[in-house]
Amino acid sequence: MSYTRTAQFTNRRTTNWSRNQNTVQFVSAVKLGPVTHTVLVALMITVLGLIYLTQATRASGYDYAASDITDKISALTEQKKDLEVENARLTALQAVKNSSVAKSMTTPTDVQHVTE
Amino acid sequence: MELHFAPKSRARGLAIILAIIMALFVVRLFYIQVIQHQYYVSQADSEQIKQFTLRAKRGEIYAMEADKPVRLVMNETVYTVWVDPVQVADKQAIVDALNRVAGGNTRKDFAQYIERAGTRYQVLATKVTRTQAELLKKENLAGVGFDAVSQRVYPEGQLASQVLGFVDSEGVGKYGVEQASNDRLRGQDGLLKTVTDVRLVPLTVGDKNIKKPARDGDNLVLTIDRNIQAEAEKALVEGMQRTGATQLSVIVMNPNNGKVLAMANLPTYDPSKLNEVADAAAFNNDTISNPYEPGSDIKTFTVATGIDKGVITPQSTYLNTDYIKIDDITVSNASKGQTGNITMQHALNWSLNTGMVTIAQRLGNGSSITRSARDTMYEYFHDRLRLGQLSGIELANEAKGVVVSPDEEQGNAVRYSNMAFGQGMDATMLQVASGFGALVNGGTYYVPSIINGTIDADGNYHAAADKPRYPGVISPASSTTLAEMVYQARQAFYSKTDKPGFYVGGKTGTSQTIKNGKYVSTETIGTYLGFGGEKGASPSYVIMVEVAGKDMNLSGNAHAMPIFNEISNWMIDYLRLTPRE
Repeated sequence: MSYTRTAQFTNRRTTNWSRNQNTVQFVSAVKLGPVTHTVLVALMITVLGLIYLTQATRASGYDYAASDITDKISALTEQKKDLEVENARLTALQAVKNSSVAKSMTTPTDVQHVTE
Repeated sequence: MELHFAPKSRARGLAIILAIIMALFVVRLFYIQVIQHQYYVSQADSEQIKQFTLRAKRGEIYAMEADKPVRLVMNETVYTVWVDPVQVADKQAIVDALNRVAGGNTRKDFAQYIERAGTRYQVLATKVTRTQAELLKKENLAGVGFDAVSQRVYPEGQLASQVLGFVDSEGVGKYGVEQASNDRLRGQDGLLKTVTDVRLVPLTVGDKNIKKPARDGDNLVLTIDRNIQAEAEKALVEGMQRTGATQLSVIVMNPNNGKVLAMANLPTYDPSKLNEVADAAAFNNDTISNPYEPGSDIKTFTVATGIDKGVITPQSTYLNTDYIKIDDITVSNASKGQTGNITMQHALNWSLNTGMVTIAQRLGNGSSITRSARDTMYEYFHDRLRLGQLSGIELANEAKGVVVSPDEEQGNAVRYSNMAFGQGMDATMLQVASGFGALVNGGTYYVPSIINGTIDADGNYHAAADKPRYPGVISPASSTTLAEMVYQARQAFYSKTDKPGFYVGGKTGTSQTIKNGKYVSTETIGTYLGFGGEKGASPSYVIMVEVAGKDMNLSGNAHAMPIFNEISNWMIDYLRLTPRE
């Protein structure tokens, strides 16, 4: 009876030996040919592409949210400006002079100044 | 891998054809992707990358109210409503909505433009407010669009309009602060270059996005006090009604720092209604743009020069005969009869030209206005008190005026005899008021200013750097003497017009005008130049008033002084000055 090595075991002497390294290595029985390799690589690239597209689309989604918020800020800023203009108009000298409060004021009949 | 085809088999032929086709693809792709790379990249960029201008906001303009800034000029976004007649689905709905929401802003007969053939853009309404625009947008009117436009708003109406100026349709400042400080006010537009979607929403994908933020314009705070300005304008309007004068100007300054507190002219205009201005002359700020012969107001400058050079005192006397001869001309007094040996104070009280010519002579050899006397007068008038020089105030269209140098042929004794009482020279009201401020404040010339500071984006006020000042234009003692003489000149005739207990001085001016190269008495300009404040302290304000009218005889005391009185007495209350015995 002759002894032959199986393909599943590789003598440690045939590999570069180093400490704490397994002395045997597993070799799969499944053999993948070049076409399978190509398909797998293509699949991996496709998956990575999909991941990239997902992330890119997700970022664009944030862009829309950011755009909406920017629009809201602009609208509120405009509203604030309008209120400031209205406030300035209402507190303008002419508006104050024509107000009912000002019209109901009277001129003092006698004013005396204190001198130092 | 080795392929084995039977010779001349169809499979071999097919393989060769496929190989050729593949080769063609490769060559074509190489051409497109490598050789034409840049071309297609730019094509793609032009489709995907959009460039937007980030508009800088024009700075607002504030006035002061005591120590608090208040807005004079603001920005407001308004909308132009337009229609694309090709896309209009319901004309009546547009007409109804516009009449209901923005009836006051629509173009005349706007309905006829809604279905105008051969056009894609017709304006229907302008200056529609944001609220109105939002109401219209809710109507979802097919074919109707909105353009946002930023415009200047003036909450105080026409207050200080000639100081402010305005912004034209191109967004460029014209006249006043708007023009002089246009670069500071307009800011700098920014840039956004980005990939967008079809709705022009900016996307962060791509590596070519650029954002350069806009830098908004500076918010400028003027030295103008809103209340003083309003009072000055009110006094001018009343003065116009009282005198019938057609051109009136007033300037109010703080002589202790050169800040202009009010500056007004009539006629004026409303900057929000530029289309209603009939005469562009209304845009001019005459206090800085219209040099004139200041007349007797300048006698205060001549007297100050004489005092500072030590050739006169208030009690110095001279023989007044109402006439004085200079070379081949004779100068006479407007007010005659004050003859005999009279004091310089008396000459100033009565505004006697002979007294001023005498001072000019005493600056020389005592009997004639020598070159030395002229050099001295030029040094004081032009070099020290800056008449005939641009003041550098931050306002557009400042005029220089003319003070003829003794170096020039025209700078002779006759010219300088006239200059001694304010004729034969041109100066602006700002120059005269600024110089006068130096004469009564202790002798320091403050370069006049109209910009008080800025307000940052957070609303914090930052004072502007102090402008240059020139102490010692006359000595403090000379200044005190001059102020007292001007005070006495006012007290001599008009003491009852002032609130009691305050130190108010002034000098009238009535200037002849030049018609066809000759002085005429049929048209005179009335001015009044004075100061006011507490007794024993530096004056708190200087006021100068001018009234003029075509073919009108207007005088300093009858027409200009009442305007001064009104403002001066109001200022005493407004500044809360303390009366003293």
